[in-house]
Amino acid sequence: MNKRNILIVDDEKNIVMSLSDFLEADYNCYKAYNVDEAIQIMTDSPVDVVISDIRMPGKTGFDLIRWLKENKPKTKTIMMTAYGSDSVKRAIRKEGAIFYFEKPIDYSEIRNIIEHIFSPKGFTADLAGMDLIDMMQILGFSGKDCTVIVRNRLGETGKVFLKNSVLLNAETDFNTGLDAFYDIIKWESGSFSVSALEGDVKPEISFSLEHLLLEISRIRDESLREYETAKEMAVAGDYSDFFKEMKDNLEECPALYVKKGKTGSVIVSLVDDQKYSIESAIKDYNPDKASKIKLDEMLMTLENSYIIIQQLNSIDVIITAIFKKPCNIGLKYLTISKYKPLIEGMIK
Amino acid sequence: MSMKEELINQIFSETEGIIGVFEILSSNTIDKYRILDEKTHKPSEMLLFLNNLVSETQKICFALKDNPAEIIANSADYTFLITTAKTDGSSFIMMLPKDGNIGLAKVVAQRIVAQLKSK
Repeated sequence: MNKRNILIVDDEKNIVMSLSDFLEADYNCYKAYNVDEAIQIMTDSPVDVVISDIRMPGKTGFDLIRWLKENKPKTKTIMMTAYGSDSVKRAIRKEGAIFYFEKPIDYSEIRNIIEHIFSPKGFTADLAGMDLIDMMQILGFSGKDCTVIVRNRLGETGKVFLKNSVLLNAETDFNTGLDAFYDIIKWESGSFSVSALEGDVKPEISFSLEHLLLEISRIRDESLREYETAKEMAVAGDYSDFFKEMKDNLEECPALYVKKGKTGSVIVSLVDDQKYSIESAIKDYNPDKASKIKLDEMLMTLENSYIIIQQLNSIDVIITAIFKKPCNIGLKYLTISKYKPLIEGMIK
Repeated sequence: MSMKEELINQIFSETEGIIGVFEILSSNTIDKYRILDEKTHKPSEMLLFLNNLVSETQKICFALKDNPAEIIANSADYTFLITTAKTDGSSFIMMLPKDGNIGLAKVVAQRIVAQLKSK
């Protein structure tokens, strides 16, 4: 992250040097020993916060504040003086400085104030039941500059940066840019909050949010239709098409069995080659019988074949897939794992 | 010390995190060799589970007319590695925690199976 720029202005060099040493681990510190030097620095370089003494030879801190109001109105000002009084405080407030310190100064307090200046502003909220795309659309219509922070149920965090209805950038723990945005949008549940746009976002995407969300809604609708079709098949008691497709995707899988665990009833029995027809053994298979230990999965490496058995304990279903040797059994395992949540959603 | 006891010692010394080792006897029943913490991992529960597991896997192998070389089974808490060394009739089961180093356990098991075969 780029460091913020701070300008320290004081005719007492030891204060400028020591305050600069104290802050420079976290900020870029410019140093000026009078108002003219300060103005010259700010003319050449961007400065986010000015910390200035009031009484200095020649122009005063008040002169600097006035110059800032006219020329750099977004720059925040912190004033410090050894000659504090109520009238000085009122004058400082009137001129528009946001904070005021009397010397001797507690540097930690100054750092706290600077951190507060740079902390994101805005309200945060967890909106249960609200779709992330809906929320993005609202923010897109409003044209607000903001950061949307999304947390999924696995604890991953993503950020989406919006400016004037344009998606500037997005980031997750693993991606940035458009890939990160698609990752976040795919998260099915979690929470999100909205705060002010972080100051140093690098615009990697810069696409119209509205256009992107329309595209994503279309893709989501298609996925939903596929899921609904699978669910309808399940309601109708017809799982075979779904598992046929799964078996085709597994490749080199001459037999696939799906059975209910307790009752032993075989839901699907798909066998290409009678050599692999072991339905009666599968029907009786019950490794958890009378035991507190419940099996989740098993990989059997046999002399001529592999068998993967996946137990979906939440729905009391056991899937058994047989593969001819040689094959990439790791890939088969991953493919079956991909189908597990869909099967769990389909078979109740 | 018998050869098998030596091998069991070798398994425990070389397999990081191992919880227990069992032998599948020729009668297809399971015998406990050693469980490190019998209070946490109750031998009676393990034996009940493993006897049933081995019996179920054997039924599948028999139906398929194929012989097992290695079986890895995962429960919520454990990973079981079942290996066979057919020439001397020995089969043994290594019990590891769920996040245990199954790769290392396999390497140790393969070497021990090879040792048993060569005797």
